Amino acid sequence: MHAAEQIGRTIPTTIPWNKVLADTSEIVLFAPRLQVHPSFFRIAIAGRLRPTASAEAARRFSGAEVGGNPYTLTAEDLAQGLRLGVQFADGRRAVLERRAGALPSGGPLESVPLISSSRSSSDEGVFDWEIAVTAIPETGPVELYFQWLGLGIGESMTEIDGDALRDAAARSIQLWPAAHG
Amino acid sequence: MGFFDSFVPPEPPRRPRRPGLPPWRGPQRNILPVALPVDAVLLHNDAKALYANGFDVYPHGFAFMVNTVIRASDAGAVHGRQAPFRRTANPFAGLAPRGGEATTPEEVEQAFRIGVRYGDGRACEVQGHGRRLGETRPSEPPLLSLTSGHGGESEWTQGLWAWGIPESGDVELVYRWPAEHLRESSVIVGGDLLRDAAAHAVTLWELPEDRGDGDARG
Repeated sequence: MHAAEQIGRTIPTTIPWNKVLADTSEIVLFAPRLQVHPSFFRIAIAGRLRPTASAEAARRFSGAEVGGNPYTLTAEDLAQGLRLGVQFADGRRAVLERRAGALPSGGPLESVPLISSSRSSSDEGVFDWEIAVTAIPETGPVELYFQWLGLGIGESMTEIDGDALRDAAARSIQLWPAAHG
Repeated sequence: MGFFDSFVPPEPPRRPRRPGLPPWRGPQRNILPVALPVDAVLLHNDAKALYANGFDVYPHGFAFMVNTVIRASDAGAVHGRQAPFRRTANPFAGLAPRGGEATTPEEVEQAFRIGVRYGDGRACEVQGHGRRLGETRPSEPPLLSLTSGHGGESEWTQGLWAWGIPESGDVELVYRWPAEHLRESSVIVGGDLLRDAAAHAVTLWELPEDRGDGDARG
């Protein structure tokens, strides 16, 4: 079943990750969980701006750089803002493009992972976000890359356990068969 | 000298420092919660499914999501059902007035209802929509309230906040949905799992507690 068709037809399996990605004097960035469908998964990404953060950090943290109106973003914003990407063990990789978008639909299953932002909410000093990765590798771990240069977080990488991911995908529940024709 | 040079340049406003929500009102933003591996299917029939996930444990309670999905081929049929909602998949819509239209007793009777029960018998259920401004601190846990929700006709994700983690025993999520022929049922959330997670939640920074009129949603 195509990734887009799984939305609304499958119940994902939760993998608690509880991973602190970055903890600086201005921000805490963490990934509470993964939610895994048969052939795609979501990564929850959350940010908390420390109350002692500078005004400049607060500006960079603000919705305009996370989930706000994309048409107000400058090239500098994009370069300095939060960037996320994944790489599979076979070398396939993708980076999140800073545009809102649903999972691509139609056609065959993707041969390369695609990342899109799915759900987001934000408030003063808080954001909770999900990104969707539209493939699950058959072998090896998934490397999650992230950086937020504007908040002092250089390029970093952490691994997602590929076996746990595949096991969770196998345990996800298909509610109803896909409607074809 | 220009016109504006005769005035003191404006100073940027100081970023307000929000007080923390009292624990009974909702998840605290200065806490790094602990996510749990809990997925519970509450309802699954030919047309609709309801499941709970997204459990995040804080020192004084836990947040979770109740997700509703309506089978794509039945999304239109839902409008004709004798259900307490017409234009949304939100199962909680039957508990709240819509656009000034009062909820009828029949709608309440048919509505999805959910609550929590401790091993010692203390229990509560979601009452309407969220904890409103000006409410006073309840006497003791548990307390279950709605937080933020989003969705449309074919799916809905609703956040809930359960204040309190019992010192012993498990926590039961009890629910029923007569409109979907779902009798009263329950799922168990392990008490030891909750207590262990609560002990491992991290306080990122201290906040002055707001004992007043904060809003639990968020």
